[in-house]
Amino acid sequence: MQGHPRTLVDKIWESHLVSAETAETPAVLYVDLHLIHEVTSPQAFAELRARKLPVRRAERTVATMDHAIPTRLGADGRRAAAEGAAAEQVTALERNCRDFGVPLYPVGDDRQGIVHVIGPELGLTHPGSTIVCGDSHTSTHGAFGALAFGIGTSEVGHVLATQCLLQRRPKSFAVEFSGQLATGVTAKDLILGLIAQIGTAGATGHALEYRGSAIRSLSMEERMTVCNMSIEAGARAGLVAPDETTYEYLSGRPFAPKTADWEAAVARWRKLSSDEGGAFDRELRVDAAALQPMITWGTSPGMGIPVRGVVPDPGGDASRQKALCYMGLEPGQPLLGRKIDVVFIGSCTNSRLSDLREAARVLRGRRVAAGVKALVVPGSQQVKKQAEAEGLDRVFREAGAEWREPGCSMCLAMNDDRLLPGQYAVSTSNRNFEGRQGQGGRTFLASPTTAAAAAVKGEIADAREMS
Amino acid sequence: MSFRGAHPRNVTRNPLFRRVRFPSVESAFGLADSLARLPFRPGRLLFQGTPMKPISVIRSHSVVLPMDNVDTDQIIPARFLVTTSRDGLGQGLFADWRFDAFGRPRPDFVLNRPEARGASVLVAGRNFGCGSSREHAVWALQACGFEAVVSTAFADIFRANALKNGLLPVQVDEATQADLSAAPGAPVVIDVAAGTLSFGEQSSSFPLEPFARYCLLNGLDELSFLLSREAEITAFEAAAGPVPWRSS
Repeated sequence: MQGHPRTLVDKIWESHLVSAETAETPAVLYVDLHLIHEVTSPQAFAELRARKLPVRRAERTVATMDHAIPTRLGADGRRAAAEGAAAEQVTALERNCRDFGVPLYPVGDDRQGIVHVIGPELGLTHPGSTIVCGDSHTSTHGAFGALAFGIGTSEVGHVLATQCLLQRRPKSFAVEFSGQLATGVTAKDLILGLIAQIGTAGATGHALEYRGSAIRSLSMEERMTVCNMSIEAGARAGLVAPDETTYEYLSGRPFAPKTADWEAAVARWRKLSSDEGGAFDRELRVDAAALQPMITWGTSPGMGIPVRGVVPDPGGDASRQKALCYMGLEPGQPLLGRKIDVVFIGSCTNSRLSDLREAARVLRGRRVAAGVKALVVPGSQQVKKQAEAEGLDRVFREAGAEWREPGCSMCLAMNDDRLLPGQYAVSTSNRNFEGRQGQGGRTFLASPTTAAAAAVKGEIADAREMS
Repeated sequence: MSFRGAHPRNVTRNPLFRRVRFPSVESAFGLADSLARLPFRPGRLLFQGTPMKPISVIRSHSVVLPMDNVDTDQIIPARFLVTTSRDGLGQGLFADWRFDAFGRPRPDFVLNRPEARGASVLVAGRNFGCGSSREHAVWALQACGFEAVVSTAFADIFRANALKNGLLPVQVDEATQADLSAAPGAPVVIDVAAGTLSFGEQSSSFPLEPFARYCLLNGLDELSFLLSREAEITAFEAAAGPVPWRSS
């Protein structure tokens, strides 16, 4: 272990090996924290029941409800209840957590929220730990220097039963963002810019490590936005080495280490950074100062352009031609000024307090354009409470936007928050796939500031002209 | 003995929507014979697994879906994930491409054409299965009779999910993918042990993680292997100490 320089991922990987990989077998990797939700866990619990297996480490498992639950209020002023099959998923999660002793933050609990928002805000996300969840955006937790990645339902069952996964070590891919982001350019623009550059399969098989001065200057919430969309670049995990910003964020959170344990933990975490000369399988340098506010024009997160850019020529690329056709766009058109129907501000990418503050800064004293529906969905009950304490909910309501209960909502349209066929949305979420936000719906991915500007103008706009 | 509700690996080769047939445990679990043929150290790898249908050779004509970056939202839209079961997901497969807004099959979509009937090998464009971690994408493909997907690249989570259910991700080079795409309906033979895909006069090899290959050939699942490592896991936990957080 001593002697040769190791990367951040090497260090986490090696400290979690129950058994190392060989040519014949993958490594048995220990999982520190397993997050579960109502949509990808029921079949895994069914497997445990069928094999008469317990949850091995219920205390390392945390459950919440986020994907399928409604975020609107019912007639009684409380969150509307899930109905039909979604209600069955909610009930199944309650039953499974009760029967297997798993802690659950259900709807109605003041710690409920999107699974990747509550982990960090509760202080469960620790630097140097391994974190998995049956959700591809588990990469979010990498912002703390954790090795965090999404898994399928079979693997959810493996972790429930054994607290371990069979894994091959991912290759490493360092992306250095040099310089600083320009004013009006956000963390969302940074990651959309990277994905536009390397493509949605650009980091397949790799864990990304985000480095450089522009990353160091980001807040924890901004780092989470960046790491969140690692999967949109094909990487299962994306990490930022922990620093003072990380420790300051975690300090005092409910599940963060306390007193002497805290000092010991920080001392440990300080050793996690990739060693000088640590060998990455791939390296890329990006000039952060050259990045601009980004927006996607197509049906893949890699189809991004500067907000002031024009729709590219697809050439002979069938996928890009199909994307243009689905989006109803022509090559050479500017997106600026294009009419939109819906604005969605939320999702595990951009539903934290700083995201809501950014959106509110644009919306304060302004109105959502006539004919535009604007949804603001806080990421968690804690975010909602803090936003309301700052009066952000009033800013949104007075502008004519809807202020919702926490959940995944229109990011994936599993509940009743959906685009109608043909509608255009500017969304702060992470995926613009065909029908992702509702059958036939068409999504432009952008930052909270760009989304808020679009809400006010009723068309795609450059928020830098509105501050 | 039947095991209704077992892994959808036991889906028979069939056109879209045919029901699942479950083989007997005995016929699905030809462990001893297969072990003898493998270059592994059996003492190290032998573990009592949940019986799943071993997969050695897949023979089928192909159906070609010539799209790059087919994401899991296209394979099965999120509205079909509102279920607590692995079964019954076939209706959701490529739902927004297969059916119009009124639920009528779109005749021009490749999977709706008569020649797609009975195909168990899907030839797709680059970067198949990107996006969400939903294993429902694999279950939906299997529910419609698919046993293998061919692409130049697979998203990491999709590949892992596929292998855990016995859906074979066959990664080929650009030239092979282009040739296969140009010959929809071509008879294809995929040999799991050899790691080869053959059609016409051509044969090309594809990578397959050795442990996954072993599990596929022997009808074994990873969970059983992990459970067999109980002593090592316990030792790791003892050395690592208690959970690093305390509720407050």
